[in-house]
Amino acid sequence: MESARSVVVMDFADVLLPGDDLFPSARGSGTALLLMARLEEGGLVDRLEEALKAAGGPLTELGPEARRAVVARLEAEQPKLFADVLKPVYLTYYEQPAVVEAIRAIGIPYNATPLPEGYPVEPFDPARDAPQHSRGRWTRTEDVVRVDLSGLDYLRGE
Amino acid sequence: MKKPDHADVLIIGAGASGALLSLVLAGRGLKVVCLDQGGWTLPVDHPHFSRDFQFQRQNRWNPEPELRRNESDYPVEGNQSHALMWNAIGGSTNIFGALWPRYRPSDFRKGVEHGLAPDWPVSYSDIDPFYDESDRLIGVSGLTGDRAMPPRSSPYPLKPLPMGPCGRAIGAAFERLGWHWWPMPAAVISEPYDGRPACNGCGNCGSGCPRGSMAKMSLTIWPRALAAGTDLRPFARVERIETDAVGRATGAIYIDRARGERVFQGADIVVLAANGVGSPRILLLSESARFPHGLANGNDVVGRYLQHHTLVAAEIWTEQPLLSHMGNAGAVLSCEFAETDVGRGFVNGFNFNVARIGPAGTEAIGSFTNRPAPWGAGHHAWFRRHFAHGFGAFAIGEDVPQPTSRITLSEAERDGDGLPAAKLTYVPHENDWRMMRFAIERLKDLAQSAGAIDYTINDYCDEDGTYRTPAWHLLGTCRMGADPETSVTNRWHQCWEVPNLYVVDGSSFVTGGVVNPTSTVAALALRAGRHIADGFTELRKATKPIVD
Repeated sequence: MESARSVVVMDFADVLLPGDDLFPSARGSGTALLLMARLEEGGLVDRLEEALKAAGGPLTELGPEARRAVVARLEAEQPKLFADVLKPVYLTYYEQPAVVEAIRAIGIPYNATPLPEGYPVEPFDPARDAPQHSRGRWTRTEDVVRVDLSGLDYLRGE
Repeated sequence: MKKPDHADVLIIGAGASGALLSLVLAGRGLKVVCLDQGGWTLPVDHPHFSRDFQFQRQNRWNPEPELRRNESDYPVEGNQSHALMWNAIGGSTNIFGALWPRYRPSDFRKGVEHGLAPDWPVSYSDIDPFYDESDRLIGVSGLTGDRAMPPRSSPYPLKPLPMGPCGRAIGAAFERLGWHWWPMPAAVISEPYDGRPACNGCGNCGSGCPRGSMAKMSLTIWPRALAAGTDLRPFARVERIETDAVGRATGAIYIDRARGERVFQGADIVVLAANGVGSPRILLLSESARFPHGLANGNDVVGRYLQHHTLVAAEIWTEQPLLSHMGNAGAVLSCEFAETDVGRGFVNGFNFNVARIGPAGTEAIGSFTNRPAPWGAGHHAWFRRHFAHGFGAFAIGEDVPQPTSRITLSEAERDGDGLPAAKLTYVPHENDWRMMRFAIERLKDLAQSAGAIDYTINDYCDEDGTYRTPAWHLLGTCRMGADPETSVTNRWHQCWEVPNLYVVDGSSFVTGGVVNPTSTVAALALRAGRHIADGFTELRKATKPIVD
């Protein structure tokens, strides 16, 4: 059972990350507890609730289109707050096991944690990977000379 | 006040420079004490083993101390660029990208070239042998034969890191433009080296490397520096450097943060290695009747000429998957625009550092350009199309050193021990703006050449137009020089006004070049260490600086 505060946050997160045939929604991914903790720690839940009200919320009683409209209004009217909330919503979502599974399901190798496994990467193969060009130049110390600054108006007086 | 035994050399700061100096000096039998305000960042402290590793990068592993607020950090006041650093044993090598390109000969001769900055008092050939030595000590991977650089005296110790589909796609994009490109040299080992395991491509380089595959100094150089006999003291925050009646440094007073007591550590020679913010801050904190404007600052140069490099960036996505969350972050370097060409409308040049983009959450929040993925019904389709399909391109250029861009002491903020914080002021020169505008157009060229399905640009300006660059590179604030009137130290890093005080770190740089600076910091540290060790008998008694 979600608390009233969690309902506010997760309704909002579901508008951001509604899910599709493969990826779960924010709520469906299991982010609620962790996301709430992170937003509470940042003092963002009260501010979000207030901002949603000011933008036409709360979301609970609204249909999908109206919810999107409220969130879009919040983003336009309070871009800093929106960005501050969006970041933990995205980061918390993408660390959920269900989301990691979805990433793997689209055919991309993906570890839930960088270590200890790492990723198998092909070693450098000079025949395949080395540049074949002969470009590149550098100037020897003794060959450095004064450049003509007369065309750089903004340097006059320096 | 507690007074431990006198040292031959006291080093302040245990980052890249302090580690290498300790290794050289203790290895030559000198009694070396090294102080650092932070502790050890252990492998298990890194976030790589936790599901929340991307969230941690935004908080406790954020490279910006103002956002991280670890106990070992000190505030850096300022509303312009963001100073990035890590205050611990190993310094910022705990979290840096370990990109390891070198300066070019012309980087040391900007006085001759255009006069907006002085020449360095040293040349490329003075530094070259120490580049090779540090490469061997640290373990550097790369491909020998780059025609955009002077020939190396010896090959890279290790073969290049894997290119993968991302590196190959980037190379092909440069190739179509007819621009120079080369596999990125990196202080990341591609094979087992010196008892450390090779990079396993985990892709989370943004939070350092707990394996020691990247050149995290606490796992690479420090074990050897300790074995050589260095007395390394963590949680030792320096309050001031003390001087005697004739103006020689006698040692430093530090706060032992573990025991809550003040300690005076005496030494014959004091070396500051606290980098571009920390070193000038300590000199300014060390004011006295003899040095009323701060130590070694009679000419008011300490803290001035702060450089970060100009920086603009792009995230570029392609149709084909690049698996750009796998492998070491650094992929390709381009020196196409490294040298000055006034036909472009500015002096100095820039390089492209092209990097892989990280994991899924990082991608979604707008990794390098801070443009997050769209929300709502389109989010998941966007993610399928973009994740693992992109790369980041950074145009990193040489900024004009200006006396007004500087580190001073904050009047408003103090650190956890009550010492005045640093205050950072940085505004790009008109030449820098012109270079960045030019570089943005070249980033667009690169996106087009890569066949981008989408790209975003970051000019690092906020809505008011203030340039707010993430400043990894903190350079120039105690610059070396040939003229005591316009520099803080001589060519050997020896302070003009305090002959047994040295400054050896990024603050010693005269100009920033077009590359990440740590390879040059390392080479300078080895050079300075050898100089101090060779001349210690005379230098410990010196009453005036070496003039040559």
